[in-house]
This record gives sequence, C-alpha cells and structure tokens, in this order.
Amino acid sequence: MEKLLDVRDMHVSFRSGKTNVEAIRGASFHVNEREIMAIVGESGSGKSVLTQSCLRLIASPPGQIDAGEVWFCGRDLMRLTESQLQRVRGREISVIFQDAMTALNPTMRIGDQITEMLLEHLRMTRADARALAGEILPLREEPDKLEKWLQRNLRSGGERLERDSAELSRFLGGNNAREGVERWLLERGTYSKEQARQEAVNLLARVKIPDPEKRMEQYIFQCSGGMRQRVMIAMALSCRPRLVIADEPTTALDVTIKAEILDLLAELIRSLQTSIILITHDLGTVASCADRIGVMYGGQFMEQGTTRQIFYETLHPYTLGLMEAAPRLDLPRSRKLSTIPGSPPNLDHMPAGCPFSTRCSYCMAVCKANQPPLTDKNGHTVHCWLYDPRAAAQRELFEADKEKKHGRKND
Amino acid sequence: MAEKMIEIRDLCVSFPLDGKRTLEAVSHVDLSIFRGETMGLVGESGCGKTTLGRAVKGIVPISSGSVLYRGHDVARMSFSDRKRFQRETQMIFQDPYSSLDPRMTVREIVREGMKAHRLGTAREQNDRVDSMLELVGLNPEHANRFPHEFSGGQRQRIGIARALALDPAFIVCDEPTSALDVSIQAQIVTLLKEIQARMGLTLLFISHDLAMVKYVSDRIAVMYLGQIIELAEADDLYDHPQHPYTRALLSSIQLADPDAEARRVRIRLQGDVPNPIDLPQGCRFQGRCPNACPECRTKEHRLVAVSPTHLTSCSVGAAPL
Repeated sequence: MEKLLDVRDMHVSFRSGKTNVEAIRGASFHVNEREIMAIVGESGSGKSVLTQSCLRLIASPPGQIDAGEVWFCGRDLMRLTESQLQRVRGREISVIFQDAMTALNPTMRIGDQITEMLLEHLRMTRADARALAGEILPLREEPDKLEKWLQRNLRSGGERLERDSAELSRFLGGNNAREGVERWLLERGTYSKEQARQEAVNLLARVKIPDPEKRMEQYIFQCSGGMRQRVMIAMALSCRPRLVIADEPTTALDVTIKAEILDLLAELIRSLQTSIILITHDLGTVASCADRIGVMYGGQFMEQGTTRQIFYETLHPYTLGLMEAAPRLDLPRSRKLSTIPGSPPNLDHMPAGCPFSTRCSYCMAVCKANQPPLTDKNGHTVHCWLYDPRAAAQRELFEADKEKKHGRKND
Repeated sequence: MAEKMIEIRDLCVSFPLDGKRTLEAVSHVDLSIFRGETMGLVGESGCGKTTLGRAVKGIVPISSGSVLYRGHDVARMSFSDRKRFQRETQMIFQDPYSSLDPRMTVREIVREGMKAHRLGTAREQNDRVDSMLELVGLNPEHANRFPHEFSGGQRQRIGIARALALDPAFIVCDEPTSALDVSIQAQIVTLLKEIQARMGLTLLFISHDLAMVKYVSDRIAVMYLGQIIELAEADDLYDHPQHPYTRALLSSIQLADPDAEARRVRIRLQGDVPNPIDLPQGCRFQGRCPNACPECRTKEHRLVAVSPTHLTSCSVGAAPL
C-alpha cells in the first residue's frame, strides 16, 4: 500500500524558563492511503503535539521542532516555506479539533465562516494558475475530458460549464495558449461568493445537519455539541483534503452522539477516499473503526500495528495495562480492575531508559538505563526490552499474564 | 431490608429563567438509597443527574418534594440535626482542578471541614489529615504543598481525603473519574471501592461512563430529561434493559474489543435531546423513540415495576424485543 504520510524520527521540545522539555522523543509513524490510523495515548503522551508538529502548528517559541522529516506526497513538510505550507494546511491536510467552541469564531455566523474559508483556501494564485494551465493544455483535443476536468477542479457546471468551455476553447485556439489560459484562470477564480455559499450549504447537508440554510445564519453557541462537531467536520472536509487529523473529535460528546459522529466521520472518509489520523485516549473509540493503531507514551510510540494485532496480539505491557484498566461491559463485574500504578511521567524528569519503566511490572535493570530497541514482527512494531533474546524469562511472565487476560475473555 | 440511607420523594428542582419561564432540571423523582450500597446514576449531559446529586446533598434549593436522611426530612431538621446531616454527607466533585482552592495547602483543604464542625483539637485534626492522606495513597509529608503541585489523579485523591475527613456515612460522587486518564481512573475507582468496604459507606455514583457505572454500582438509575426512566440492579439493567432509551444508550457503548464491536448492533436514535425549556407533551422520549405510539404523545409515564427490583417508566417499549 502507498504511504500518504511518513513521519520519521520527530523530536519536539518546549523551552520553559531555563529548561528544555522534550515532548516528542523520536517518534516515527506513517499513514497509508485511505486508512484510519489511530494514535492512542494518555494526556501528556505527546499525541497532539506530534500531529500538530507535522503541520508546524505548535507555537514557536516556546515549541521547537528539533529534528524529523514529514513526507507528504513527495515533499518534506518540514522543509517547505511558511507560505508553501499554508497551502497544505486546511487544503490537503485539515484538522478537526476537540472543542468546536474554541476552534471556531464565536462572533461569526456559521455560514460566513465556512464561506470565508472556502474562498481563502480555494483562491486562485499565480502558482495555482500555472499548475492548472499545465493540466488543461494536454486536454486541448479532448472536449469530454476537458469538461470533466472543469467539473472536478473548478466546480463548474450547467450554464457556467458551457461558458467556461467556450471561453477556454477561445484561449486554447489562440497562439499563446499557455499564457492565455493562465490569465483566464486567474480572472475566473475557483469560486464566486455565491458559489462558495451554495457549497457551504451543501457541506452542512452532507454532514446531515437538518435545515442547513437556517444553520448558516446561526452562531456556533446556538448549536448542540453534536451539531458543533458536525460543523467542524464539514469545514475540515470542505476542500477534499487527502488527510484529516481528528484530535479527540468525540471526547466532549455523550455516548449516543459520540457513536453517531464517529459513524458519520468514517462514512465520509470512505466516500471521499481520504485518510485520517484519529487521536484519542479511548481504546473503545478505535476498536471498531481504526485500521491501524499506534500507542504513545512519554513522547514515543510504544507499539504500532493493525487493530487486531494491538488488541489480540498485544506486545507491550503498557498497551496490555491500558486494556485491563478500563471497565468492560462484556466482562463480569466481579473482575477486579487491574491498575497501572503511579502516574504518567513528568516530561522534566524522564527516565534515561524506557519511559514506561517506572510503572511497568516487567521492568528489568536494562529498561531503566537504556532506550528499548525496536522489534518488528510483520509490521507490528514494539519498543520493549522484553523482546531481546536475553529477556526470555521475563517475557514468559508477560506471555502468561496476557494468556490469563485472553482466557478470561473467552469465559 | 437494610436501612434507607436516603429517600427522595417526588423531588423537583427548577431554575428560573426569565421571570415567566422555568427550567425543570429534576422532575418528580422518587429514589431510595440503602445503607452500604452504591447507587449508580447515569444519563447524558443535561439530563439533571448532577442537579439531583446536589439537591440530595442540600446545596441546590428544592422546588417541591423532599429528601429524607435516615428517615428525617432534611428541610425540617433542627439546627443540630442539620449540622449532623451536613457532616455525615459529603461530596466528591468532577473537576479536580476547580474543586480545590488553589491558595490553600492540602492540609488546610482536608482540615477545613473538621475546623468548621469543631471536631477535636488542632493536634487531633492534623493527625487525622495525615492518616486520611495516607488512606488515599498520598504522602502526608506533602500536606504543606499546594494543589497545583499535584497531578489530576493526586488532586482527586485530595478531594476524597477531604470528603472522608469528617467520617461521613453517605457520599455523592459526581463524575469523580471523568476528568482523569484511563490508567488513573482505575486507581481512583479501586480506591473508592476499598474505602467503601472498609468504612461501610453508602455512595451515589454519578457518571456518564456506562461501563464504569456498571463496574462500581449495585443498583443503577437511568435519567432522561430530569426523570428517572429505569431503575434496576446493575447486571439486570445491562442484561435486560426495558426502556427504549436505556437500550439505545447501552447499544451505543463502544467496546475495546474489535470482535465484540463487529457484533454490536447500535440502536440509532433520531434527532437530538429536546430543549428542556420546551418539553414535548406526554412521554419526554417520544420524539426520538422508535416504538412511540399515540398514547405516548399524550400520557406521561410513571415508573412501574416489571419485577420487584426492576422499574421502568415505559410500558410500550417493555414489550419483548
């Protein structure tokens, strides 16, 4: 499968006073085309910082990306200029935030906000015109394909399409075709204001908001939590991005609404053939919809694999601990919750070795002193010393505990 | 049967909106909580579960109806009885950040109630602070620190220590774990259960986390728009839900198990929760109910027993699936 996003060895730190706090300590992951990649972790594990760093969205200062590459469609986003990256943000990679109330403008009508965003993101720049002209010219002899292209890329249709085709053919026939087409594109733009407004209404209808025309005139505080999140999704998908980063999109919602929003998101993602990074702290959220899962702790990935691998062939003690710590409806109430002792590490005083070593029940001397190596089992990767051949005895303990867990599940 | 610790009789709590209109957050609720049990109270945001919890504790004025503590109406208690009620009923709040005064040290926070009730000498109070902190798993040497020096889970432990310092009999736990990380939630819930067993506490456990409520509660009440719509023993409620809302609620819980998730059939509800200011006629759930019949649009349902321990307000949805 094709890798859409490939993040390699990210290091991000925050300066606070005289100290430098390392929030992301060497994290690598990738997202395939058309897949839902979930990043699971507790607060402070760095899941939001990592994904925001991929778009260079962290405030700097105090934040600072120390190292790492983010490959997206053949470009390293870390090496783009700010204005080049601005064209990627929102258009090719968009973000859905947890709290629409703070992410959206409370003093602007919903419709105006979406319209403004569409006009801004789909504005035609000189560079766009040049690139698009390059796509149009080869279609010069094939009117059918040209029409399809116009519909897809300029959202042209009906009368507008006829006018566009007529005007274009005039320029294409001229002797300086390329320059003419470029000028025409710049003048035409992608959207008129009315078109953008109509598109905004369509978007709201698409996320199943009843009576979208009326909602356009409302403010975000007039919407319920579920409706707000729908508006956020509509905005994030408006430019048909290739990748959506959804940062805890359902955390603030009630169970019934949560299930609905997740279904909607999964459905739209599939129909638009978009990929998504789903950030969450809740394993229940990802069990049904994610294709792959990465488990983060202390600014690093502990384990990455397909959803089935993570749930049924768990390799890391932290992942197992997380699953055992949550009460489960399908297990008897008499089962004692197993707790992970202690609390997540303070990023100021990270252990020299594995970040989880202070809370791990299988901790060995080596875990405290040295960073665990990466073990790869058919794409199921884990950072843990248990998979070193010298740790066979300790690993047996872990396997036995895991067996107990799965055995209990089958009772 | 065990003694009734709390008895709620036909309780209503309304908040005035703008002169004419009122919002009825809790509407004609009857509920008894027996000594030593954990009563779970679940519902979605805005259903009135927190208001009900606060009304029981007496920190929200009651519009009509009554709350009885050990058989005595709280509203008609003598001054000294009321003082005792206030000491013996405590509360643990949801947000461990805003429920602790940032300018007080942990010792002052935990000791404040004992001071207010003039329990023991200063020395005894300090000793009790130390033993309470130890009980909840904190180091008594940290008693002179301020709340901001602690993590969320530790702060929630401070809140628990504060509630326990007065040796209460009944505690209202208002979403005590929902602001915490998964691994910390388990610690706090395990701690609460241990302390309950040791001190013989009665708990009202309010939460929107249905899996957590099932885990901690003996009996569970489900609320919808200010009313209790179903009340049953924990396992019975999850195995045989009667009310269509309860069924929909339970069916939307996401399970941390891909195979179980694949088997889960979700009952989809239409629309949003109605505006509590402008309630529908008849059953409050009828607008979203898949089984609504004409009768539901006119007649308000009351809780009826389907078995001695299982009550539901829906007679229509209770038909076999």
